Amino acid sequence: MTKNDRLSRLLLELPWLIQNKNTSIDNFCAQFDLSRDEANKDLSLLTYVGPGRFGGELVDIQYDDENISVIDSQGFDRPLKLNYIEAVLLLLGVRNLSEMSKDKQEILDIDNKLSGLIGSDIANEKYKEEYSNKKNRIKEAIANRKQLVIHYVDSNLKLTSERSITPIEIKALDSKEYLTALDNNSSQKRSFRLDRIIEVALVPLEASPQEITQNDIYSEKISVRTKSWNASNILDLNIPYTISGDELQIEMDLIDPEFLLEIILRLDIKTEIMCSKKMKSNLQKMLNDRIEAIL
Amino acid sequence: MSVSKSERILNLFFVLINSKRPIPRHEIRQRVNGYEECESETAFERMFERDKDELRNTGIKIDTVPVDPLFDDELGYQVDSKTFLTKTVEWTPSERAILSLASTTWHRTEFENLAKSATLKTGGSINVKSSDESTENYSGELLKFRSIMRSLNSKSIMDFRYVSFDDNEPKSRQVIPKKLYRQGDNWYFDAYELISTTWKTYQTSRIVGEIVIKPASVIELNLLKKDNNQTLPRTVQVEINQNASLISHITGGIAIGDRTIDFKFFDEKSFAKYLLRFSPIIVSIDNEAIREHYKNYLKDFMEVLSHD
Repeated sequence: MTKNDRLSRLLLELPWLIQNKNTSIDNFCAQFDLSRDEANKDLSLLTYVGPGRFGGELVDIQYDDENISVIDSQGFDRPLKLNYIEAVLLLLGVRNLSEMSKDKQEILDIDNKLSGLIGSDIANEKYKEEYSNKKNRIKEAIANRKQLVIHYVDSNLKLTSERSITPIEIKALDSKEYLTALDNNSSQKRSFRLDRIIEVALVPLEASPQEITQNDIYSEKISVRTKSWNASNILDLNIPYTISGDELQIEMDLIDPEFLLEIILRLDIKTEIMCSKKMKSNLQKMLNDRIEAIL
Repeated sequence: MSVSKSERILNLFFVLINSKRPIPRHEIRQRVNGYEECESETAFERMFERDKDELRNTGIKIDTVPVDPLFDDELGYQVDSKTFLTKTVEWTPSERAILSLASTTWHRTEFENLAKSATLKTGGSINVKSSDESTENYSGELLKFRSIMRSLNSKSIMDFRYVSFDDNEPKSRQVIPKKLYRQGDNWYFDAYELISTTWKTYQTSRIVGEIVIKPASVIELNLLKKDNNQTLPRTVQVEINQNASLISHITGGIAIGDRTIDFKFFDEKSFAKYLLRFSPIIVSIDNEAIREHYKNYLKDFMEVLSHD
């Protein structure tokens, strides 16, 4: 071990001990890959340093054969910032777990916390804060059985008018969080992407949520075949697809032709679309309108 | 009793973080336990410079600033506040366990120590039992990232097939990567492409198949040094029929008016393809080339829909 390695380690040890109060000396040794003797030397050195030379100006750590407690850290109570590579490694490690884990919500929470620890070039601090406040208000509504009035950006990127909903739960799927809620007007269960909910106001629950009903809604089975590398373009749409070799296939019952068009426009021109002639003609008309509308 | 080097450097660190003002060099010499052993001012200055370098190597940046903001005749030193995490994060026991597992992803790779150090900085614990018995469990995605990180670390060439935004088939690319980063849901890397000799940005999920790592020749590394100026993105304003400030975070642009979003782009054709997903709300695009590509794409999709 070089002296520089030791200095780096000592600078890691003190904030770690503050965050892991009353840790055992065995755990400390294991975490920092130290023998008991090395651990004692590190702890001893740490109690000799500080902004001055006398008792009250030195780091105070109490330790015995069992536990370690930091009594006075002399102002060094915040850990050092993750450097860029460290942050990327942790995020990728968590991402690797998310591909194997069943508890997507917990993984997503960790991802968000880690992103919050990293500089602004990776995470957008202001937006993260707004998002977190919004999520807390929704959680509060779920916990206290309150209704919400929201504005929502729908799949066509149009801002809907006020919508009254009864929130049920927040679920994570891939890298996005979704709110499952009862739409109080249509009495249907809906899924809202959290980042597309714009404004949230809590209102007391006036009556028990109505029973969820399934109204008769016209839907059509559609099938789309494209190349597998287009998958990254549709991740955020939360639609089911399968990949076999270099082919990606989407099969779904579709209600909204505009949503199908959004999917298609994210793919490429070699995409095959299987749907009714009526649907295709609808889509062509929408495309034509958009071509003519653009200035 | 003489003060060890680590002890002296830590004392310097503590003196600096406990001061609300920049500390001049002569005061550092008086206050830091360990500097009193220097026999001369020159010896102190040499030792102080070495200690600052040691701290810098551990990620602690020391700024040199005027002691009095109104006069710059006396300089002092202070620890850059960006050295520390801006906030502490409370981890639940199960989150710590997950962080610990995440760190073992890099077990037995060249990134093992860095990943451990990152976990310890977050206050998390390292999964010490996972070590030798654990089997490597890498997803295809992670293998891709490992190759990118390895190439970044060693300044090697990455040889891979890539489908750019406006391509329909993957094409071969040979690049030397410079930086890996995440934006929204996607990961990107900036890299120098050896065939076109230009800097480009690649989305990791559009790499098809394996990445082959090859050592870069001196000539290729020199190319990188000569052409170190990355192309700067250009901007385009897109008018929409919705409230821009409420939805700009979904589009990746910045709202600059009630109905206008400002986007950064590198390539007109690729950017036009990206804009297609916002077509239900787009009213105008203030760049003729992008607008034409955008219209042509919409026409191409009309053609796709005409097939039975």
